Amino acid sequence: MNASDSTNANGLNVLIVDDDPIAIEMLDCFLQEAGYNVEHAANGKQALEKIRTFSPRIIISDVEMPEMNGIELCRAVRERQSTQYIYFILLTSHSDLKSVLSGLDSGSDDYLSKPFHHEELRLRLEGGRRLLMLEGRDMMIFSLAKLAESRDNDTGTHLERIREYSKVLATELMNWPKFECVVDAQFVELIYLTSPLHDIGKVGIPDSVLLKPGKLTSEEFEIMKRHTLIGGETLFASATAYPETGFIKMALDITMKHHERWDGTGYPFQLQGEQIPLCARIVSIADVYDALTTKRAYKDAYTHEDAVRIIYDSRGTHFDPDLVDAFAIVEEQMRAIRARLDVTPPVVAPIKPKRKLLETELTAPVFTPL
Amino acid sequence: MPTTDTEIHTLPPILDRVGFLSRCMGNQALATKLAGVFLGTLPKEQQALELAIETIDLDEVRRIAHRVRGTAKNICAVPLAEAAFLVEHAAEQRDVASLYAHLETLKTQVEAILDELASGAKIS
Repeated sequence: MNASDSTNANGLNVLIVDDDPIAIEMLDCFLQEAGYNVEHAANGKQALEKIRTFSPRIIISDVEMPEMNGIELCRAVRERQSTQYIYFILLTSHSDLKSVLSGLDSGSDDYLSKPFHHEELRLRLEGGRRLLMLEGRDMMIFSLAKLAESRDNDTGTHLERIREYSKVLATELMNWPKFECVVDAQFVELIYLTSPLHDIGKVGIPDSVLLKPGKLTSEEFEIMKRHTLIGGETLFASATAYPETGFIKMALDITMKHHERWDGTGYPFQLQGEQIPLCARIVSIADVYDALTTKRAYKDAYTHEDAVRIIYDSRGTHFDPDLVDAFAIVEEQMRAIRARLDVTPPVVAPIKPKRKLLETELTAPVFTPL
Repeated sequence: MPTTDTEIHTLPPILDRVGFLSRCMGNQALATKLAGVFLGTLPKEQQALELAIETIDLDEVRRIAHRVRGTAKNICAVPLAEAAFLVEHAAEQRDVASLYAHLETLKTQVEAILDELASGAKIS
């Protein structure tokens, strides 16, 4: 087993830090039996050296140690610029409140009393693993979305903006009595996490269509519309294989239905009104706002004011009227996000003469021509 | 809390062998290995403790006593853990007078546990 591979099938890398050789032996034996890769250090200083080569995902550290104690070690770990989060458990015979608070204040995630109870340690490690998996999940979701986006050469920081716009809109809806049963903090977190997946199905669209700089023919447009179904099928397969991963349901709704329109003229299912899931209605408005305010090879960016006007004009046709009203409340936040994340990508497609916006040319949505 | 006369007069064993084996997840080889490590380190810890007391280095006394307490708990040597706690506490309180008295108790417990382990009785 490769000790430096923290993602192998059997387990994570765990670093034990303790100056008591018996405690180390006991933990080592327990952790190895549980399938973890284990290394140890006798104090904080040794542990910091070990971290450079061993790359632990979990550290179980005693508090009271010579040279550098567990609390100092935890602080040093948190101050490091690390690409991976390290789950930190302090293990000590100190059990008074002051020690517990001091340990948690240093940035430790958990605190266990010595002598450790095997079952308790096992369960706490499971908690740590779950947290680390969530970190990996969020990163993988965004990476996947970025990969899909990378085929489309002029979208820049589109995904970063979409998730921010969606979050702002959803957060506003939390205050609306009509939505309070649906939109809570978890909904906001999930839409932030999953909205970047909205166009993931574009990986299945041929370059000749996806990268075509000019107007799509009606046949090409039909092909382009398939990205909602391609993305949906991919996520549906994931949802079936991993039914316990609840966030895929929202990702699925967004991916398949963010081109539906309130009046039933969207695609792929021509859903109407509240038949369209709320998350998809939110991403729809976010996506159009971003498409309008983004410069393309074939068009200049609309000003914020013009984009807002177009969205207001689409109230009750393209967009949910409530969401347009919510948009009106947060439009300044949208402008701020646009300004903060406005990284104009290099234009690589041939520049066409400036002309009127065409329905099929927005990254997003079927849109009422100006 | 003890509820019967029998319980009141029952002192914890020098080494709770069943408890120790259980902490080793029933792994006899591990228990024997740890007992060996303990036999090797405890006399050194005691020596270091006496030196620290001689030089009135109370922080060091507290640290060593704390470590001995942790180790003793790990191998289920409850009387030794309790004696180590008294030394640790006295050092923390800067109570040098009590420290000497508690050190004697600790030495007695160290001797007892070393005898117990050296007797070669199987941990089971």
